[in-house]
Amino acid sequence: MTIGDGVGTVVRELGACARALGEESTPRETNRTASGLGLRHVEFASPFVISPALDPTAFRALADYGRSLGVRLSCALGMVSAGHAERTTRFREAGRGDLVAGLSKALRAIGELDTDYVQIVVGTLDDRYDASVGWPEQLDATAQLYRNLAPVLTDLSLKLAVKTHEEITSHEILALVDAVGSDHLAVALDPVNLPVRGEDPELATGRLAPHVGRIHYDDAWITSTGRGLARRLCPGGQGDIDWGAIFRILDGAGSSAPVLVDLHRGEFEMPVCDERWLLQNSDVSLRELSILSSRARPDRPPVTATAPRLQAALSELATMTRGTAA
Amino acid sequence: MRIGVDGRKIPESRARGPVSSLEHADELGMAGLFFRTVLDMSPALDAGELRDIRSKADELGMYLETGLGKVNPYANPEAPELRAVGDGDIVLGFRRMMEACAAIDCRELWVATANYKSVYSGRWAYDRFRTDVTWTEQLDATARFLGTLAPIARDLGIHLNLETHEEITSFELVRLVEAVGSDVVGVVFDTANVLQRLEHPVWAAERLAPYVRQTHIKDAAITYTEGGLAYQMRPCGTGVVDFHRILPILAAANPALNLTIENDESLDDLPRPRRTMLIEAFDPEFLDGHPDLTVQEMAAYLDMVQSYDRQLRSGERIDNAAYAAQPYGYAETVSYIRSSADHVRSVCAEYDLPVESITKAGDLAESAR
Repeated sequence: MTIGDGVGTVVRELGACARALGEESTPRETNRTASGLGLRHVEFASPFVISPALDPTAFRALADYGRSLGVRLSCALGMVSAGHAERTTRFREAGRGDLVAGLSKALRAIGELDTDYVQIVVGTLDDRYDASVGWPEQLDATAQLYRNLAPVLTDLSLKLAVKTHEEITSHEILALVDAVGSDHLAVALDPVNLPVRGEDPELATGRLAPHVGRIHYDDAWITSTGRGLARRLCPGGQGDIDWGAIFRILDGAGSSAPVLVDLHRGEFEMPVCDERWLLQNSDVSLRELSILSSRARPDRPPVTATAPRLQAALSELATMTRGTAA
Repeated sequence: MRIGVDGRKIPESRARGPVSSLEHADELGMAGLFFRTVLDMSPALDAGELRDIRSKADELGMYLETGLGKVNPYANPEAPELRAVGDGDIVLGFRRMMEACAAIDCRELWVATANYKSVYSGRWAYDRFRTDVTWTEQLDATARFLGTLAPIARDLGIHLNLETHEEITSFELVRLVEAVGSDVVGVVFDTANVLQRLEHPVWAAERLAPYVRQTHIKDAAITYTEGGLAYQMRPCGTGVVDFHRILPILAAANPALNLTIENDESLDDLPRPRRTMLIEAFDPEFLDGHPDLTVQEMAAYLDMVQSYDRQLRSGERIDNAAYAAQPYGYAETVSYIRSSADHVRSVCAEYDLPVESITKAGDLAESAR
């Protein structure tokens, strides 16, 4: 399935994050599920899902299998930052104590998928508010770590695509891209996370558009809680993310990144009236705060069930689809 | 503190004239009248006319407040009467008005910086967005003109009190007062106008309190609308302005402050379409025009709007269209004034604020005891 006519001029591959297609599935089952749904792209959450030993032949075999079903594969590295060694122990083991070597080994395996971007997440919301080490310091250290991967990225013609995850702002991501170099670091645009940092998805997309290598599709309501704002996940097409506008912005920037259905789980509140929160989120602007607030509906429970959300996402994206798998 | 009403907007003010309007206000239980300008009281600055008005106010035990006009040289041409009253010399015009006011012991005098242009929408209605002269230039010229008037004011024991008018922010007012001198310049705090500058009325009150010498006590609904936020005047206590927080701040700084209800003007007196005012709160150019506004205050403001939105959704408040569709003639304007005064009075009572006995009826009841 490709996406284009309904939203603009650029034809995009439509796919999904593997997790959205079944938590318990094997990679081959995920490929079959994707193919059955007419999807042309699957992104796995971790290379260890494909091969615990990061065996390149396993990656090549899986890519061949996907290709036979008309499904292109990519694979994320997961959460990788300098300040949280506990999250990267398997990579370090793979590098026999050398984290960069382990990550490089994983990237070489992922390269066998014949992909272009490798999605990566910097951290968690707790990291941003970690009192023991400042967030800017963590970002600097992470930039250094990502820079250390430059040789292998160059060698494989790969780019890391840092996800607009809930802990990081688009401004911080742009600074990270600047620090690492845009030839090695791109962006995995995940608009549903942007309001969590007080950002308007469309304006933030405009900022990030030149660097976008992956697009994560989901939807959410922006609600008013009486304590501030909240992000409540909901079925695609029912929420406050204006995907038509986002695709138009990306089209305008010439981005042909694939769209991956990604069913999020986190519920986040944004206590925008709390001065301390605002001080910790100095990127929040008058304009984006006012835009988010104008969209806010009365608070309501999220829709967390994945099956109806997957269905809604696919049918919503189908309304923006040109043709089917060719 | 005493609770009065606007001398221009009290119903039938033009038909009745100032003296009869004082009697009218007294009948409505108001403790004073605040005529916008001394020229409203007597266009020719007739000393006899002005004395009669003062005598009537004194006889009724009411406060009498008034003012002068715009003190922004870029706005003054829109009020040719200010220059005319000086026979072509606008400084002389202001001197004559100030002397006439001092002669009837009105020494707290309203002034303002521009005229709201209701024919235009959004930011074009506010002179801070003029394209022929920047707002900074207008503020500089205003400061210079106030500096010219300052010696006259000082000589007469007068304060020129700048209103938190639609176009100006409380930050700019504080800077003007401090630049020209708080011995001659103060503030008329309009509790609702600041909303049009995206200022939270409580935050504005805290900034302005030391300099507030006159008031326009006013409330408004702020609601989401196409292109931003809609501002619609509402009786005090039914809009977003939190008088429970504002009045104690004002009373602490100036316990003798008069609280003048600025009511929405009766449609009988001023027939007009009942439009809302558009605040382009999401427009980057509009926001760029407010360099002093902080994200913290904006967050508090938006929270206030959200809270009002919940009241609308619950049916506790009516929406703008339904409100505007209601008749608004003499009776409704009187009811607007009375309910506003009742709200202010109840807040003052709740916080034990120093409000003088409020109505003649109240006085009579007091003396009968």
